[in-house]
Amino acid sequence: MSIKVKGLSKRFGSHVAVRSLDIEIADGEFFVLLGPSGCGKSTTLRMIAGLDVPSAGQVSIHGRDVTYAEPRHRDIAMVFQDYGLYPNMTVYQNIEFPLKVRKVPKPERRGKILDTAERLGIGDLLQRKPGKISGGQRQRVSLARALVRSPHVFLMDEPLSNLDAALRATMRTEIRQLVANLGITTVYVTHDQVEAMSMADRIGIMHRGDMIQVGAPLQVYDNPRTKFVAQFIGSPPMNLIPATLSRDGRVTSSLQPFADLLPEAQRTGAIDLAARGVPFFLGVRPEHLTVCASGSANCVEAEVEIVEPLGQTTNIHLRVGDTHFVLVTGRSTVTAGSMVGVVANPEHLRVVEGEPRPAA
Amino acid sequence: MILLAPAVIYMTVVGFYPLVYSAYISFTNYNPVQGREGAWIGLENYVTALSDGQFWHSLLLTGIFTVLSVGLSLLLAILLALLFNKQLPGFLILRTIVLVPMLVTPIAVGIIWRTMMNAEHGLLNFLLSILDIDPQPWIGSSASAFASILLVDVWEWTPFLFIIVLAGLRGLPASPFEAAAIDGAGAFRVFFNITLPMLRPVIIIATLLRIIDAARTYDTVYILTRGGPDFATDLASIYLQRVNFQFFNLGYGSALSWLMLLAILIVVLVYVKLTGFLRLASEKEPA
Amino acid sequence: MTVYSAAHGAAPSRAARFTRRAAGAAGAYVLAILATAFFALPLVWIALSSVKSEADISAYPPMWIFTPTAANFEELFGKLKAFDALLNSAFVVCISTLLAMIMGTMAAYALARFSFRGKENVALQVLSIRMMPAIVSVIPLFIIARSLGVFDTPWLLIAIYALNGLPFVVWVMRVFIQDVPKSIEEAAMIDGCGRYEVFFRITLPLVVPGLAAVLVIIFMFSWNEYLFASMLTSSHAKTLPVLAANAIKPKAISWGLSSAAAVVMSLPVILLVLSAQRYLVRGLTLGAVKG
Repeated sequence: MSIKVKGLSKRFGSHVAVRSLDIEIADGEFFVLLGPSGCGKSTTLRMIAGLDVPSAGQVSIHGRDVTYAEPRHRDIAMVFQDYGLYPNMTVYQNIEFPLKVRKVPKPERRGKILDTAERLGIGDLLQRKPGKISGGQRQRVSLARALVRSPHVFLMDEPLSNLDAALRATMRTEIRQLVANLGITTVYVTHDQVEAMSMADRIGIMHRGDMIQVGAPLQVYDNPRTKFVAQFIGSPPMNLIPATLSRDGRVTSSLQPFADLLPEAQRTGAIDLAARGVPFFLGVRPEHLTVCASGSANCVEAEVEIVEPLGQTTNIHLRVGDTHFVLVTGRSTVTAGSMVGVVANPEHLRVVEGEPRPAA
Repeated sequence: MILLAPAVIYMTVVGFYPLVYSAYISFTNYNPVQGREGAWIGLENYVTALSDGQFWHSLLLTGIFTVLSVGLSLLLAILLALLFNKQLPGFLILRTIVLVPMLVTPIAVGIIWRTMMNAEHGLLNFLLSILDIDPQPWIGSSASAFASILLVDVWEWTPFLFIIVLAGLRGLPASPFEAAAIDGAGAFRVFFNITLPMLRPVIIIATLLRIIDAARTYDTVYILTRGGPDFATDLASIYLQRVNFQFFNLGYGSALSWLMLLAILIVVLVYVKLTGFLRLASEKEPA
Repeated sequence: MTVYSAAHGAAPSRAARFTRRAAGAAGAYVLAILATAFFALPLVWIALSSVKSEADISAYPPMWIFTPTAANFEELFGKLKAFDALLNSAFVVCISTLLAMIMGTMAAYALARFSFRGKENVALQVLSIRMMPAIVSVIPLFIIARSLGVFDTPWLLIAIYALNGLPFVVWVMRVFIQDVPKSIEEAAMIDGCGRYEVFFRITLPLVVPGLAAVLVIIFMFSWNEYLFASMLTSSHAKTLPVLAANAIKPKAISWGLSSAAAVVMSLPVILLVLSAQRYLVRGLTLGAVKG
């Protein structure tokens, strides 16, 4: 089932939570809505679910306009952040509920429930109540209840944020595999960029009610459109150095040797932004900087401020004048306080827009 | 330690000492009006009580009264809570008004309803006449008096249960209900399978409080009927009052009041057992 | 997918969902107003009656339009000396409430923060007072009071009302105090406060909403109390409820007078409670739900 959202917006009084969203999600796609709290991602999800009515715009599922339809008529399933389990029913009854409501005959119900429970590894919890099982187990019950109906659309609102880190990592893979095997169109809301990167077919990044950028994970990673995206995705975040366009069309910045390495395509982008009066930055990810011999081409002399050895990688915090940036490399012998030469990989230099602006 | 001391000492002196004294009196034949100075007669008062038809009659009335009053007001309270849970504009004011009956002095409640239930010029009969219904004797007839005091009690105490159930409703998590909306459950199913079970702890505790209070109802009934007509509304507390402060049969009256306390205790214990009250207190696990 | 085509038909419009909601809301308003009328009508009626002349009150059909008169109130405060009763009520209730609050909150703190042998016993004792029918203790108190010579004095009532309020104060304040994180108090102790300082300067300010709620509630129960007051007072220490009940006693009931008495009796509490409404809901429900 494909999902299409057009001009979707929602305001609460004078506060605009979601501002004119356009998204198309293909059948079977795993689409992640990513953003900080308050960006409108949950509100968008709830409008797709039918729990909130849009102020304007349209939601269609499989070509059918469901903008004002009740949730029950949309053939969707949803997993909530706090799981939304019925506290007074056993696990079995919780999973049974959607089937019971739809008047599925009893023997058939039983089969589906046992099947789904097996698949999610909660087969031996069926007689317990939600209050007596762990968070991770509740998560699975929530998933089971959603899946037992074999829905065509799966909505998830930060389902992993109440779990501890280790559990989160394993559940990530499990959910992804589960959904992929069943081929269900999924919209997944999270604020965790690691989750987004590892699970999504495509990511939609939202900020303050606007959709800032949509694309495949690596695509968004390599080509962030705005400062917001560049710093939200990737850890440590992309280095962003303020830049301007000189009269003769050259990109100037405090790390000029890097600016000089900018590919032509990027420079054209800068010219375009400058013409529109939009501030921009010179962007390069920490892993695309390397140590060079002082004096070599486009090499910048920087002072090492802090070295963070993380085992597999090392974060080196550098300073040139008032400009601070970070380099990531493998094991390193560089020490704090020393001077070191740094060069950027031209292929990965970017011009990044200044303010978060909606995708044009 | 010192923090606790004042309260404990106070309770012992002002609270328990009179109780012990009361127990003692119950074993005597104390009756100042008839000149009996309180000679020890052992369990005689209690034995007399067991064959005191009037006493059992009043206990029975009290029991029926409690069950009906608490039951009816609970039902009404739940319906009202569901209604007022919607946050429509103006509901706050209406809700505030609904609260007032339980604040009014019970004596005043008695006065108010006695005024309205007056057979000749009371407001209630007037309202009935508008609906083309015959005027009722209300508290004037032994057939309708019990129902009348029941009505008053429900009017007075439904707000109490209402406000507690409403607060309970407000405290419920939203997601099970949203999940139910997505699963497609209708209003009745949601209410009986989800709302009510989640409200169970709140309802059980509030109901217990009401039961304990309803069994001791005195003020309103005193003003309305004094226990009549023909003892139709002679609740335990009214009967006890008569024995003690009309006939001044204090020894016997003390025994009766201890028996009444025993009755209340038994009811509470049965209730606690039936509803698994204590288990509720130890497990507070939201899903 | 057959799911859509067969079962659901045309797409529901915004108007359809809106109309459904509007109809629901209209129904809700009708019910709410009916309910409010049920609970409010008697109150409105007594207020009206209190300013009617005796003749107007006994009129049938009941008069909605009439010339209001202050005669009832005049009689209430003049001949019946209601003002004295009012003062008695105020005095007794204020002091007993204060007493109960002080003792009760201290006890609640002890129960909330310390563990000691017999702790649950104390808690149970406190709870059991609540179940007593007043009549059990009235008799001995009546006798004791006469012999001690405190019969018909405010002190007796103060003592009793304070006792009545104690369980509630302890029960609810204990819950409120437990809600204050221990870490705040521990931080204060490290900063140099002794246990008592912590109680007064740190904990107490944080439970003010609870204090307000509990105070209003036990004030109300004491103000409205009748049984003990009627048995243990006579002409001097009479409280308002007793005064009002006496207006009903004689064979010929004075409707106007009793209406006025009802109004005077109930007004203070209603005003007090309504102004503290926000805190009240939390207080009542915490006592019921968590206790």
